[in-house]
Amino acid sequence: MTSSSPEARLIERIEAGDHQAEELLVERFGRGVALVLDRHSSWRGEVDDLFQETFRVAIEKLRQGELRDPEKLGAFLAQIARYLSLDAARKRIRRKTEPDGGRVEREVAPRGNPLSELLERENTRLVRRVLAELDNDRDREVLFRFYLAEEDRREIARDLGLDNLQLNRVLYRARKRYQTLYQERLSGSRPMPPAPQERSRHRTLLLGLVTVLAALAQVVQPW
Amino acid sequence: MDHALIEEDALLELYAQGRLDPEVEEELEAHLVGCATCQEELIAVRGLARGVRRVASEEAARLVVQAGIASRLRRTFSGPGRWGWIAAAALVVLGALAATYAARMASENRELRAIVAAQGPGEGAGDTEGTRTTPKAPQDFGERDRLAALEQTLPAAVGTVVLLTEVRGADDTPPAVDRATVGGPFALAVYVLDDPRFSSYRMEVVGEDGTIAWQRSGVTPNAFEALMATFAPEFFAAGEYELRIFGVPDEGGAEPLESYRFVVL
Repeated sequence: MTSSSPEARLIERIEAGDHQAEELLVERFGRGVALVLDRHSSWRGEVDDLFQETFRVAIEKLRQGELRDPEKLGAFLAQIARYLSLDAARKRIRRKTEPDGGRVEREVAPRGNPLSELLERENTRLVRRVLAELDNDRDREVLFRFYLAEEDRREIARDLGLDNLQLNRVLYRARKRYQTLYQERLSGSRPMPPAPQERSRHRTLLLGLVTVLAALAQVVQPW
Repeated sequence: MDHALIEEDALLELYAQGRLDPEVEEELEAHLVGCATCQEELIAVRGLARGVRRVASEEAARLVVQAGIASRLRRTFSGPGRWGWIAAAALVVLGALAATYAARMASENRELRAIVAAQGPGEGAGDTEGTRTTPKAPQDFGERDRLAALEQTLPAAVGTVVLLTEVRGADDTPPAVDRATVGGPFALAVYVLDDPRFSSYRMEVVGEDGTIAWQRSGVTPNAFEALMATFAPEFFAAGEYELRIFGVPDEGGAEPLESYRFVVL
């Protein structure tokens, strides 16, 4: 990266007090910083605050010329995000030792967000498609053991007679297929065929009917 | 850090699960912050992981509900009167239809059944010290015997499983537990999405007057991501209750999450 690289020019503008450049910094690196914060912070409500704080600290340091190598801008932002997350976690632990640290909030929780629930359902349908389209049971087993049981990769590979590269390829293919389906859904280019979950609703309906009849049978038994 | 290495070593998958060495993690994050492609990939990894867990949870719920139905049918068939026998005969016919239909669907749902088979019987949180079950997948996903054994185990362990769902409006009727018909211990079950913020959960059952009828801390989801608690039928007096779920992070405290109403008759 040379002094005329986009990062170098951005930093120069921030050093010069250009607010538009600051906005550009957030626009360019905001999603990456949010992902890092999300990974390190166990408290979702905290991520928004840490996001603001990360860029506040970063811009302040950039204005003071503390980053000498523009090539390290990503590492610089990631480091600040990670440090702030850890610092917030330490503060939470300290608060725990205060007298009211273990207080249980007793208010009834707000109702779940219908939009997020809808998105989760849609996501589940996508994953059902991915699972249904996998070539074989072995690949499905890899996914379940890796994502659900969170087993060690080496253990999974050993059990299934795969090497690490083969196992990683299964994970890679599944992820790519998921991404493709996700993009198709976003663009609306292809209607989503019914997933096994959808088809099994008919079965659930039948089982529901049986339950109702069983309950009726209980009622009529005395006569 | 180049993309070939990230792909070959499945670094994003491991990063999402917090399984990278700190040095590698730091290096990956430095790259991730500025790389739109890797950000998209990471989002996909997280969505896929979330979806796999939810599919497993939904299938487990279906199995639990079916187990409850099987239990109810057994009670219905025990000592029926004349009308009971007629109803039972109708149930046999409908049951056969349902079984035929389910058998046809089974081939399409092989992967879903595999999840359930991979988990083994779930442990009710109310019956354990709350340690998370580490499921082991069977070597052969065609192990029908194992699945059949699982289906037999669940109704035997608990008479009825009441799967609680949110009651969203005043017109919605909360699920009811009829003590006269449960015929033995019953379980209350709710599903929780795996939330990395919390190391355990707290369950509370609150009566109509606001007093806590029952509570348990340190509960963790079983292999099907369900929180379950088992009760003797005489435990509750008749009335309306609310099951409240709190998430408990490592740092302490508790965050109220969901509440579920149910009625005991």
